[in-house]
Amino acid sequence: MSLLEVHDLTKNFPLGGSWFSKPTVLQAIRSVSLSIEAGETLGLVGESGCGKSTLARCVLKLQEPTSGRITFDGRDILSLPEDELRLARRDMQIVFQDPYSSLNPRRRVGDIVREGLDIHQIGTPNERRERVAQLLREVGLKTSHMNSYPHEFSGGQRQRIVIARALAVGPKFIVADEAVSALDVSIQAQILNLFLELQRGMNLTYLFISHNLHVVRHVSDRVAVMYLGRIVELASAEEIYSNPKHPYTQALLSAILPPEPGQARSHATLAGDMHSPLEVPMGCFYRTRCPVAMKECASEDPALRFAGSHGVACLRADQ
Amino acid sequence: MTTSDLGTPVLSVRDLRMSFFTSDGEVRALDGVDFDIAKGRTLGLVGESGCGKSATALSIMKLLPAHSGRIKSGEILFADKDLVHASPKEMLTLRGKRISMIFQDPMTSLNPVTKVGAQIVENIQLHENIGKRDAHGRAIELLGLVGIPTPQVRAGQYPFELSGGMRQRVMIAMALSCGPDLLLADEPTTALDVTIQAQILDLMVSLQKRLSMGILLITHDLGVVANYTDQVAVMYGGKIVERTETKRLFERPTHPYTRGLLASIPGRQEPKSLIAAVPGTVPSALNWPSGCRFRTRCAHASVECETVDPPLQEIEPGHLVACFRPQWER
Amino acid sequence: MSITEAVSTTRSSQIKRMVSPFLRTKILFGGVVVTALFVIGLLAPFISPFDPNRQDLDATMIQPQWLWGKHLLGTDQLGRDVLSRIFHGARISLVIAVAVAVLSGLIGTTLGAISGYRSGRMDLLIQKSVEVMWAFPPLLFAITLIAFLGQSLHILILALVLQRWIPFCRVARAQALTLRSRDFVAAATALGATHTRILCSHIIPNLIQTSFVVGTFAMATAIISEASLSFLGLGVPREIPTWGSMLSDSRAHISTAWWLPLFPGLFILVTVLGINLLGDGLRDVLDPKLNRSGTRGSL
Repeated sequence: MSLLEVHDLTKNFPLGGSWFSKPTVLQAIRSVSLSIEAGETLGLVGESGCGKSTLARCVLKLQEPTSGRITFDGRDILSLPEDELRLARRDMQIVFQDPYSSLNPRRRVGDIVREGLDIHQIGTPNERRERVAQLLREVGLKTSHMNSYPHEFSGGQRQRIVIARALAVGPKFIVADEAVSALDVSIQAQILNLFLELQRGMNLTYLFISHNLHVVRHVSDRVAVMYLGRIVELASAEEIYSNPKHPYTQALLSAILPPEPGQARSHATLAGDMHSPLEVPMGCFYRTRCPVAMKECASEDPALRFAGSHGVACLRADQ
Repeated sequence: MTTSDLGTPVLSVRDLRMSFFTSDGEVRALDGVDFDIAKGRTLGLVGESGCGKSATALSIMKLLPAHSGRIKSGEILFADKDLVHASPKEMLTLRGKRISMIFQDPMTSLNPVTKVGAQIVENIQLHENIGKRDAHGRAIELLGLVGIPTPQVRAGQYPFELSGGMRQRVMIAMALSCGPDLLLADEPTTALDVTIQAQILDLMVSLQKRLSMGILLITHDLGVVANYTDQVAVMYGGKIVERTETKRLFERPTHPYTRGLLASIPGRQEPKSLIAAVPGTVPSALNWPSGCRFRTRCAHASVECETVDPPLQEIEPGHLVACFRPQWER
Repeated sequence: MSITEAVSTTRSSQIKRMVSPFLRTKILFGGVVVTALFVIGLLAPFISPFDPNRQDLDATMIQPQWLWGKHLLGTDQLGRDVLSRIFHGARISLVIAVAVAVLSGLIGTTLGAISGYRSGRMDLLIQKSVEVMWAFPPLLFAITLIAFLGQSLHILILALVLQRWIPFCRVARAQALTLRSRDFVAAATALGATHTRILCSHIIPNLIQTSFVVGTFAMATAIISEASLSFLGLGVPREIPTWGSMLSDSRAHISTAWWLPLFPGLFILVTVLGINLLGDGLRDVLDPKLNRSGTRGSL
């Protein structure tokens, strides 16, 4: 049984609307299904507006999905009563993108990291202090940092504090929502290393979200590609990069600029811009930018179909 | 727009030193920066936050915050003028006409309450003696030139009606409206989706060919540098630590920071392996370390590095490095 | 963080910015005034040359003798020493100002924070109450309440608090709305924090600073409101001297005894001005967290 199972998840945001007109609906995620095994890293890649952050928050019930089911460790998260949900939260944590808004500027680092322990009454006050010191060391900071405030730290250091906070409650599963995107390349590498080391040491399971394909490839076992709220391809990291089947994945890969001058790049033609999520085309969302769109693509919305462990949502892929 | 030989320098920066004077002390943002940008060529300026790359562009354009930024010394030679000593009036005639700049976030760089076409017209009329109708016609031409479909329609729209990629194109159109000799592009594609990035950069390159302008391309992305620059200068701590032809930099990076940076890029290692990251963090700009600024994070630092700040020296023809222990092996 | 951003938001640079001359004057002046008010109010019984209510019909309507006589600021029509009455009036003003500011601050900030953070029905309820209360002309509301409940210091404070909690509520709510979408609040939820904990540990501490600024303005308006009500005869009972009642009493003698309305009026003016300047100064120091230098973006 997988650690996390997401089944047919949809999240709609009603926007505006007045007494005179029906509210428009923004469908941030549509019928997303995926599963993550214990100890595995599932990478989620997509550009802005594809719904990956919304998915991250829904999976942890930080946002209420419109429909669908989420099973974590065998339990249906969405139907748990408040107090049981709070307990269950110990097992699943999240690291956000912006190191500057992730920490309460008015609290000391030690208090921030200790919060989870306080909430769940884990250990005696002394034990908690010890644990905080230990956690700070584990993420590469100094114990003396406990008494400082967030604004005294750099972006990379703040992310370490955020990670320490998440680890305090002993989670099995961590969602990293663009956790390294706001960091400089050299710091990014440090934090990625930290994620990898922690995973090995604690057998953590990750949902690793990023728009940067290289980053995702480096840390993931399997990768899911999202476009306008749907998963369009899902396969092992190796497969996605060596044998991408969905035209969007192919375009994404060809758009990456390799840090090697003089390499001939094949541009998979990608016309125009992504549609606003408010006005999605009928049928396959991607067809208006797809170089190989057929007539059928306008009438049928392709579901994710699997050939072995490689899933693609494209009518063309079957051929 | 002239047609003289490609390769003659359009901009020469010599020993530029610039600081921000703040209530916490002097922030030495630029401490001796040297480079040339040749006609029709692109120089990439690459580095991480706080290294001074944006400060360089702002200094060239003399757009530093009035109350705190000041060029302390050095030369910025452009069209036989030293911009350091240029009067504000002189700068006004240059900006937008002979030197243009485009910024990272097109949403905050465009006036949200003015139509897009009008913004381009404004720039044209500021520098050239053309009537409104002609200027408008040129604006539409420019929008078409930068790849915006139905430019007449788009010219009448506001920035919020356009996508990020299109807004960036509008910025480029505005920057090129008077045919500048030099374009400063500060992280022009960082805020854009990866699939749009390549489009915008390709556009810039093709326009560069047409106008034979020099481009200073500021970025933190080494992929962009590898594919869109002819020469590259790596910055750290307000100084240039390595400068050479782009190809050479990737073939033979010698400064430990450059090497560290290249090694940090994910995707070049074994998946799920530990990346050889550069340890530590950038020291505070209020208090650079003595000697070489990179030494606090360098695996090869020696005693010399602590006391003397290594000058930028040519270690092989066309390849300059500021380091006492340049690393040669691959 | 870019160099310019780092530079404009460090704590020490905030404090150093306070040293800017204009700001310094504001805070200095305001600070001096508020301190003086506190000192005078606290020590009134000890530093007043006379009992403020002691009538001396042999010494009525004496002009200010300044430093050459016993009655520095003169006496009123009943022979009561003006200076002593001013000092004791300061006391009342102080009590009212602080009580109103603190009570309405506590109520308003808490309700505003809950309102902004929880949204939904709670928010709607509180906001509708705010709108209803706000629709009442403040002075009229106070007058009505006092007319019904009688005159006393406590009723007066109650009447003022019932109006003054609203600005606190509004400001707190606006901030709570922004704060609740910040990542650290989501992180707290993810850790399993209850709403109460989030409100107390995360939301309220981050909006308290602004409440202090609103508080200084609340103090100022409380003093004016009290003066107005006392002037109308609806403030505290007559035995307690207040600046407002002194003004009221002097109405009949404006043309003959210029010092009777002048001094209380002057003190009200300076006190309120000082408090406002202090509040202004505080606000200026706190605001720069948002976009002050004008240049954003990386270096």
